[in-house]
Amino acid sequence: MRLQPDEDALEFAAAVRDLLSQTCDAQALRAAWDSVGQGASGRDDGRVPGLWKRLADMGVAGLVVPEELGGAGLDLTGALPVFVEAGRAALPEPVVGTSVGAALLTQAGGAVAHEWLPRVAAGEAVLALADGHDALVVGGQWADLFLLGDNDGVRAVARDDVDVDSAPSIDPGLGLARVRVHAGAGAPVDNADGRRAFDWACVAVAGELVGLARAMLDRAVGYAKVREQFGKPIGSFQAVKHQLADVFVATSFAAPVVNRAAWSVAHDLPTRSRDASHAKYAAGRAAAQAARTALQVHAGIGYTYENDLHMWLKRTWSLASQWGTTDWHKDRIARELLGG
Amino acid sequence: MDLTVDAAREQWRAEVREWLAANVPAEPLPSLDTADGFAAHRDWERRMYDAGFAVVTWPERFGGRAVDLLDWLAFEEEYWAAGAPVRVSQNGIFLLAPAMFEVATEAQLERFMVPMARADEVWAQGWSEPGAGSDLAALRSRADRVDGGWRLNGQKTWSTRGTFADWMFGLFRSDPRSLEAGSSRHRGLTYFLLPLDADGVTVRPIRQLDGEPGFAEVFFDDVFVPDDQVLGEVGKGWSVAMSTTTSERGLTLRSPGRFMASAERLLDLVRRTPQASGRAVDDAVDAWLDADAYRLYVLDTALRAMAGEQIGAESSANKLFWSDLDVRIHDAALRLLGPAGLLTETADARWLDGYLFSLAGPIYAGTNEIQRNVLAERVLGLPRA
Repeated sequence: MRLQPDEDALEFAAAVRDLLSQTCDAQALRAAWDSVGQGASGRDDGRVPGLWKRLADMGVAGLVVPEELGGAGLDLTGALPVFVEAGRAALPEPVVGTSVGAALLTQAGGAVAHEWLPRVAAGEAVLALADGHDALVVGGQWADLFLLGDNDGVRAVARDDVDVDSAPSIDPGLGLARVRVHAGAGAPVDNADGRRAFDWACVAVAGELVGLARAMLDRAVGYAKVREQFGKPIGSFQAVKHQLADVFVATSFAAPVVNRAAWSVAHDLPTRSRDASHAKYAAGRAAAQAARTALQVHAGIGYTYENDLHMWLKRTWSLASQWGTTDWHKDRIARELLGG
Repeated sequence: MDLTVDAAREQWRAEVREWLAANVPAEPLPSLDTADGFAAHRDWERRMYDAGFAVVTWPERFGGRAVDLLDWLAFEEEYWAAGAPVRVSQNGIFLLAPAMFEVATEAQLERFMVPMARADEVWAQGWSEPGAGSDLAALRSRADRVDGGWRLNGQKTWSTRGTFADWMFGLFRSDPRSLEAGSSRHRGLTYFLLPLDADGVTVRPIRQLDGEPGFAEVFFDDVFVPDDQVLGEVGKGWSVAMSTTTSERGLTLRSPGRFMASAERLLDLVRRTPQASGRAVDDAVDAWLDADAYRLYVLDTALRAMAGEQIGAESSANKLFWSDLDVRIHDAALRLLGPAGLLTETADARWLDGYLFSLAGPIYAGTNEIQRNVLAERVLGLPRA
């Protein structure tokens, strides 16, 4: 048995982390945020120029696309460490949305999958999932194909058949857009299991939240070691130490819950939805605690736009509210455990 | 990642479950911290030993089954789900034994392990002193060299099971110079094993929050202890003790099965409390989720340990998590029960007992404040004050 992702998956994620530390450091991230509204079309607002191509060359775009369609063919347990790295970098690229879409198309198979998945793996098309015909969509600004879930199943709708209005939010690196689908547009994706895709997305985002929590803990610990008051590093004071220790505990206990959920979703176990909700809930809580604590430890400088911390805080707030809020997931679990 | 459970492990779990179903007493035993209850719990340990279930991780020659950590976790899940008694031999089998297997002589293993496993000899702890609690290395109870052994003087307190136990393990200062300025207080300590009926030992029971004498003060007046009751090297007692407390905080003291069983019972309580407050229900669901998280965290730790990874100060995270969780489980239960939860002789009084017991968790085995310091300094690398 093993609850950690496989060694090769961890190694691949470490390579992604190296790439992101070079190409998507805080300075690049800040530049990406500042790019919003500067481009002509707005299509790539908030992204890091050229990064998606490099990620695609590494295999990140086609992470879960089957090998015969040009991808890496990983399941959710193998892809999860990459999502953690996306979170750690507060990455403003559609890694998760595209992967969720690719997982859904891979599960369904058929014409849409065969048409689009090779393009996804090549980095030529990015995907986004929309819940309903008029929805706020993460990565909607950037997507080439929308997978639209409603009561009748899942439809694939090309960008030409939707209206995309950018939805300015506190996180410009999210590509958030309001997406309205033209009546009758798109093609049905037969056999698509939209509910499973939703659970898949919850676990992927939970992975991002774990990465965010770790990044914010690292930032806060690093700052507490160098910031001096009363002639000492503030990290020597117990009031600061204990808050940071509590974040370490919350994050340490969320990660195995997320790992387990990846297994449950990948193997479609009966506990799949409950495990996915637990992952989103635990990671959402841990990341929220990490964000509050990191801000408090940074104090005045943390409350500025000039310090880099705010980009991680805002990504945390954004993701905690996406794919079902932290509270919504708790309620879903409670209903399952207690009935009613 | 691979979470499939192989057939041999399922078979082990089934064997444990079957034996427990046939043998766990139908009525709860009287409190461990009464004379009758202590005797009843001793009897239970002997039945477990005779069936080969008292110390499943130990080598077979001491009555164990030599199972690995995963099978131990399964054993514990089944044990607590079956509502089996608390373990009177816990100090010995979970705290002392890991240190014994690491440093004891062959003769010491021969002498002590089987009586420990059968609860013929129940062990008490001798750590804290009136002046040495969180700051354990400040302890002053001393051991002076005499012909053939050592003479102990001083006082221990909060000695769990001290009232009825037969033997004690503990730390004494064998080099008084180690308390002088400029010396390391952690040196000059030696780990002793001694019988509580030895001449010069006085045990004064202390009634705990629940009114029962669950721990004791123990006084030593010129108590002679022979050389063969020193565990490990003279002067190395601190590191021997740390191997004990690491396992205490780490894996074996509070197995996930215990909290999972409590959390399941808590959900049952919610289901049979139609007028339950939404807040209590919400906290109960949180407690269940955190019990599940604790189970997964320990499983991951066990798997990494089995793969050869060293498990270090992260065990402090473990202790912080379970001790807080245990309080929250029982607090939610008492809030669901309302005034009935404070009655001491009803079937639900187990929640009150459990609540009182849980309140000790954030205090013993290193207070949670000390654990946070350990995490902050040794894991996060923050500077000492």
